[in-house]
Order: sequence, then structure tokens, then C-alpha cells
Amino acid sequence: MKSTIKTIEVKDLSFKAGEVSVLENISFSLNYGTITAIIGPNGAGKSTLVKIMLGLLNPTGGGVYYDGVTPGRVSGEMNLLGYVPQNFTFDRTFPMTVEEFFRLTCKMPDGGRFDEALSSLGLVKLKNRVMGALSGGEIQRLLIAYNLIHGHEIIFLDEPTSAIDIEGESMVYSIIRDLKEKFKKTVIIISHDIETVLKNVDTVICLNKTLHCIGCPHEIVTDTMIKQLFDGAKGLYRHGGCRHDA
Amino acid sequence: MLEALLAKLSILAMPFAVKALLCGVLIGAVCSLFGIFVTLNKMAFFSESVSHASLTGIAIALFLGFDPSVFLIFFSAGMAAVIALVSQSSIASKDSIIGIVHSATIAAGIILLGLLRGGMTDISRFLFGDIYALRTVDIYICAGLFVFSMTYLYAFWKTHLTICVAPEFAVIEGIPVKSYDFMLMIAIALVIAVAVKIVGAILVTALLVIPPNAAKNVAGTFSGFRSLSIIFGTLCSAAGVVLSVFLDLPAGPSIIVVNAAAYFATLFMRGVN
Repeated sequence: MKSTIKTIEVKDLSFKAGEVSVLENISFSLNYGTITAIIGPNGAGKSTLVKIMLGLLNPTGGGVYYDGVTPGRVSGEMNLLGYVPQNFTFDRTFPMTVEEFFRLTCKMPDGGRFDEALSSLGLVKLKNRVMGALSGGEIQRLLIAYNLIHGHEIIFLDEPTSAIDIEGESMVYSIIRDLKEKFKKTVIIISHDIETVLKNVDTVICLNKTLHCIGCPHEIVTDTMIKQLFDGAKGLYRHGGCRHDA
Repeated sequence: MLEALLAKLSILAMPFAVKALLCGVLIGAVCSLFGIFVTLNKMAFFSESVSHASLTGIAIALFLGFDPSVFLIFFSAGMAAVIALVSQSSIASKDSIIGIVHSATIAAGIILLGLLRGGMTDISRFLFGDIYALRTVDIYICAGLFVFSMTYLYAFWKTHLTICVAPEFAVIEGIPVKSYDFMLMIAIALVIAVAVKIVGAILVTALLVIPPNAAKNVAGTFSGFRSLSIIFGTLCSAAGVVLSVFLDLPAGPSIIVVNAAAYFATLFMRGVN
């Protein structure tokens, strides 16, 4: 039985690539069982932050702690951290069915967990379909299922809707909400799609090398804040009850 | 006509032909399985580089008076280790280092062979293969490679596949991807070192690349792909040997021509479907 992480603490985190400062003194804490979005312009350090939180990069200052434990241990020994990449590099011309993908890549596919993950994500009917024939949304569901089968407690999703249509997008966010509500997972999303993200998350982290703000999206995210964060390149405006990216 | 056919069939029962068939089938099976990873990881250029580098290995062996077959095993593994370590250290890109090693070893091989007198007779066997001149030690090497390959693939099949199919997940799961890539490159180099004796340094990459790609053309599942790859690898090797006996053709190129025919046949089938 895997232990459950109660808090995620990022403390005085800094990262430099050579002489270039990518992240400066980032500090925040997140509660278990929430959906958090990290937003910010290109080059803000979002992916670097996530890589450090996953234990794939070592910070040059400060650290990340999961109930006081470092990411390397939580990821490696405890196997609690999961990841859904933005671009899945699988060769789509390769003959491999969805079921074969899981059977061949999952370490110890627990029978019950395997079936539950597939049925919850609507993948049962796709079991015999070749991977190359899956849509962008179906690929995202498959990658999320992989993390569920492995029993990952904290799942990071990098731009989860960047390669899919609007219909697929709403399905992916419905699954993300299920990850929190049904599977009791902690979800951390990197996204550029501010409008959609803000509707679906509990906490937003606004990042641009330094931490601009963190909190409930409806309380902290304003047009002015977005413009400041994106150096005037983006903003929120409302008309007819809808909110759009400018 | 019938007498000529019977005479050819009797040749197939001769010890040298039996050895050739046995080794051809064993190496065909091994290459078709490792070829799956060569195809998935896009390692054809690496294979080409290691196989062509064997020219230098053979020249050094002849120069120093070692058995080329045995020396080549260590030399190829060493070459693969150099390529893997340099490319993984980020000093140079993998593609560049393979290209440089590829050209440099061929050039060094030609220079060394130029310094050798009477070495060209031996080198032609390694360039184009000489499956009919296999000695007892070569049979043991082929059998040893087969046992090693099956053991290696049984132990690491799933891990290598995870790295090939979902490298992002492999990193997160804590799999030491670089170490496994290093091991795979060494293993493929060992396969190449032995297969050079069968089809020659120039053609050995085809033995790794064609069976999985022919299988890929017609397979609908991964298990089908793997099975078909082995079937193509073994049957084409055997058919190549038989063809060479019946038509008095060189065996190595015959094996590759049969493989290529199988590939184009499956490509046609894929186009039709």
C-alpha cells in the first residue's frame, strides 16, 4: 500500500542554466487532492519548475519537499509521481494495440486497477485499436490511464489540451476533475490556455521566473494581473458573459 | 534436369551447407529480434557505422596476427562503447559522432589494409560474408551469441520496450535510460560482429533492419509484428542459403536479396490493403 502525500512544499527554489537565471526564490505550498495550474509566458520557467518537482532536475537553490521527502525518493523509491508529456513521441506507424501498450510498458499491471483505469477513461472499447489510429484526446486518456495503473498519487500534465479539438478538450478536463474527485489524486497542470484552465482548477500559480501570485483563480486572476504576467501580450476581457483570451 | 536437382539437394546435406543453414537461421533470428529495437530507436545508422568499423577491426586483427572472428567481437563492442559514451556525454551529438566514427574507421581500415600484404583475400570474406567457410569455432560463436541474445532479451525485453515506446515514462519511473541504451548498443554491436561473418560488413545492417520492417508492413499487433519479424529473419536466411546453392550465387548477398524481396512483397501487400 502506497503512502499518501499530504503537502507539497516548494521552498526558496532557484534554478540557473549556466549564468541564466530561470527560476528565482520560488516558495509556495499545495495541498493534497487539489488541481493546480501553473501559468505564465514562454520562458517563464514552468517546465523547469515541473522537472524539478518531478526530480528530473536538481535546483541550484532551495528545494521541493513532499511531506518533507525529496522528489528523487518520492519518484523513484515510492513511485508516487506521474507525468503526462505534451508531446508523446510514440512512432504512430508502429503496430501496437492499446492493450499491448499497457501490457508491455506497465511494470506490474494490477488486474483490478488496470480494468478500473481503462473503464473509467473509456478505453475499454479502444483496447484492440492500434495506437496510431488514436486521436489526440484518446492519446491523452491513454497516458492518464498509464499513471492511474501505476498508482501515481501526484500527476503532472504538460499542456494537456494543446494537440486536441474543443470536444476532446472538455473530455480531458472532465477526466482531470475525475482524477481529483473519483481517484483522489493531486493534479498539477502546465497550460497556456488560461480561460479553460481557470474554470477547472482550484489553485493557480502565476509564474514568470519569480512567483507573481498564487491562490484561487477567481480571487486573484484579473485582466491587469494577466497583462502584467504576460508583459501585456495577453489579457482577459469579458463580453456577453463569456471570457476570452485576447 | 532431375539429376541436377538431386545433385543440388545433396549439396544441402553436406556438412558445410548444414552449418551454413544452422548459423544463418540462428543469426537471422537474433538479428530480427534486435532489429526491432534498431527500428524502434532509429539505430540503422549506428548499426551501419559499427558494421563498417569492423573493417578496421579485421585489419588490426590481421596486422597483429589475431583471429579476426574473435577479435571483432571485442573491437565492435569497444566501438559501440565509444559511440555511446561520447554521445551520452553531450560533448557531441549522437548523429555527428556516429558519422565521424563511421568515416574515420573506414579510412583507418583502408590505410591499415594498404600496409598489409596478402590481407585482401581474408578481408573480402568479411566484406561480403562467407557462410560456407564457417569453422567449428564460428559455429560455437554463433550458438553462444544465440544463447546470450535470448537470455539478454528475456531479461531486458520489457525495460527496453518501455524506453523505446514511452521514454518520458521510463525517465519518471526511475529507469536508468542511459545505462540501458549503453547496454543495448553493446549487445547490438556483438550481434553485428558475429553476423559480419555471415553476410559481410557491407550488408549486415540489412539483416537487422529488413525483417522488422517487412513485419511492420503487414502486422496489426505488436505480438504479430514480433512473430513475423522472427519468421522473416529465419526463413529469408534459410531461403538465401538454399538459393545460393541452387544458383551458385554468393550466400551473403543472396540472403539479403531474399530479405529485400520479402520487404517489397509486404510493402505491396500493405499498399493493396
